[in-house]
Amino acid sequence: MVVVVTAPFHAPAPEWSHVYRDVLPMHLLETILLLGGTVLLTVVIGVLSAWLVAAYSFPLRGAMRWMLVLPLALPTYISAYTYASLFGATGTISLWVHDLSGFRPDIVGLPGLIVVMALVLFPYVYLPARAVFASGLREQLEAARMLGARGSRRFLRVAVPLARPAIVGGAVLVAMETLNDYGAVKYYGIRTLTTAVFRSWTGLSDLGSALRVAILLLLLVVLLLWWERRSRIHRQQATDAVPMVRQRLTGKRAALATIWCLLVLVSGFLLPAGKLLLDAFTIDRTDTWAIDLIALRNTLGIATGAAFLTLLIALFLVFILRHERKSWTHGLVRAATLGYAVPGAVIAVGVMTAAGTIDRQAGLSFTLIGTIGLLLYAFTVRFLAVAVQPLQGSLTRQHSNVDDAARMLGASPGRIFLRVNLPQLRPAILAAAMLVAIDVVKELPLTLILRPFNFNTLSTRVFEMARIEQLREAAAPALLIVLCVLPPLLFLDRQLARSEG
Amino acid sequence: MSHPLLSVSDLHFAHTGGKAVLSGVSFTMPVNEVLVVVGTSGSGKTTLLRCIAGLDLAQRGRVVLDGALLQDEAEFMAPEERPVGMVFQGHALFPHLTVKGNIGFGLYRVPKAERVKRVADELASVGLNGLGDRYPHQLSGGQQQRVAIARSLVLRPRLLLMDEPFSDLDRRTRQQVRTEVLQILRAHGTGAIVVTHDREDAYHLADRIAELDQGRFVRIAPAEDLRKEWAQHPLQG
Repeated sequence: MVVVVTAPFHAPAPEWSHVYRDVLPMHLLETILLLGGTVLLTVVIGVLSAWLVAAYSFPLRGAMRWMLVLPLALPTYISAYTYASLFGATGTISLWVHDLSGFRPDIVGLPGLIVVMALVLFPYVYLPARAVFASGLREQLEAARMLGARGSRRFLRVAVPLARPAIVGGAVLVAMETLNDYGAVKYYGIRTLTTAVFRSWTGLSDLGSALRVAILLLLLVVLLLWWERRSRIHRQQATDAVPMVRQRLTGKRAALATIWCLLVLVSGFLLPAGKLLLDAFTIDRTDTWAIDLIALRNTLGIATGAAFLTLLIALFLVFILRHERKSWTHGLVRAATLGYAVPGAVIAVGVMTAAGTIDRQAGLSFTLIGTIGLLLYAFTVRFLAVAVQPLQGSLTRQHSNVDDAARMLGASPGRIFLRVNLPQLRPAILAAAMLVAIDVVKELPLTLILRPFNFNTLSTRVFEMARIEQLREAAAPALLIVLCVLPPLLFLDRQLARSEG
Repeated sequence: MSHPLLSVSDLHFAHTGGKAVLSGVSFTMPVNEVLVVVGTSGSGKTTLLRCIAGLDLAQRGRVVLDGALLQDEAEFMAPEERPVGMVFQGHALFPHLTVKGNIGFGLYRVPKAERVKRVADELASVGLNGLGDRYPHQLSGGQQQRVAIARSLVLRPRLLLMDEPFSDLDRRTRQQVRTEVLQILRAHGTGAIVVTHDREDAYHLADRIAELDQGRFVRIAPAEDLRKEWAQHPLQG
């Protein structure tokens, strides 16, 4: 971060004036349009689906509750490629429609990308909204009912305002994921700040300009975080923790609820996943199978390594937080976990510049750039918050009396943490490791910039094949990503559902 | 003889796959009466209120309010349609709305000018003049309690259900709020069922007191009778 933030203090290269004048304005405008559209649509889909599933009983509701999480298994770029191969100018369905009607639909463009991204990212809003609707608002909603409010009024006037902090929190995550995306925006020809970072660095070979664009990205992130924080001021999120009593829907209303959820599920997951499955098993894979397997091995390797490293540091941080209850420890943890808010491309150029400086000045016999170590370090910077959050949440629920009791029995802080706190943290440790691993498997821009030479992960392999328009060939590694992510995702959803009651 | 305000017959409720919570509760209530339901924890007091409100669906039984059928084997009127108000334990105020917003919440079908007037009148009747623009967290426990009552009474319900309405209040505030609540109910001519486990609440509020035990009414008696009995056995209950 220091490297990125101090970039403007160095003299700019001549390329900067071109980037500033010709590149930035359109990239900034399209970023804002993409961000606004995606967040808005995501909130509509996520909140409405969460409300239906939490507040009502209707056919297939039980299955829909967990199945609506499935789109999270699809990285945005994979879904975008799949949709392009179906609804792009030469897509299967577009051609079919063209033969029938003479009109050729083409999803590739800004509106299409907004829809595709919203269909994949809505679970970031759906999950926190569902949690609040399901077990945080029962009394208020029942009070509204006793005051004569029907379903839509209870939803709009009570549930949504009370769940606003959770909804905004989810929306901010969606915005960050949108800012972080590189594969989908590149393929759909949308100029965003992330593509400007890549363009400045790879196209113009000007790392300085890339860092300056990165600052703009960071400013957007700061704005988003400010918005999220502001939404929590004077907003008490009701948390009476009593499970909601669901109302039974019948007739047309029940059918409409089921159709809505099915539509979201099919378009967000089943359609793209089905297409991947079809492509993966219908094309000849004898040439590429071995390469895909190596990419799978690499992916699992770095996911495991990054999860392990991130967990170790996260555990150290929560230990400090628990046993050094001072303001500086909170500041330290907050600073260390800022990385999740920062787009992968920004972290990558920052880490790369820092590593280059170390390489030049320390006179090492090897270079840090292009090593697995640097890649793992960058993952740790980016995903530390993902690991700290569940650990901190779980540790907060452990009463401090227990620590005091252990201390009175002569245990040191280290021993208390190892023998008392840590054993109770086991489910949270597992959840934290899975969350980090899921993110690493799906991550693209950071991996693309920092990976060692000739080192492919599943995500970079999908990206490279999509870049040369081999979308059907990209299906197998894309499917492997989904298969890697699905089991931990479903496990985490089950844990969440249990806590919702 | 005029018909009773509320008539409940043979009300049964059990949680899915669980033990019966209400096992054939029957009673009637005349207009304007304050009936206090007492009983130990788990005796079914809150469930009784929720079934009358329609928030829990009784498996069997008939509920008639002011001559209108709320529920029987074939019919079920949704809670939002019932002319019944409810004050929840813990108040359940909407934290994102002001006092005026809370009180006016149920008046959304009423024209704005009339709504503003009714909210102002209700604020005055519960002694909250000047506090209309505050949020619930800016009020004391007693003031929150009055907002919760005003919010229900502004809709002019035929019956008010109150679930442990004073449990969050300290002894002194409790006494004061209890007296005020009774005055408000009398002034509005509203009948009420108040659930409490506190004898003092029952003693001061009730016209009649009903004792609920394991889902059945074991006794319904004029409050005066039980007051005398409790005076002789001050340590029990």
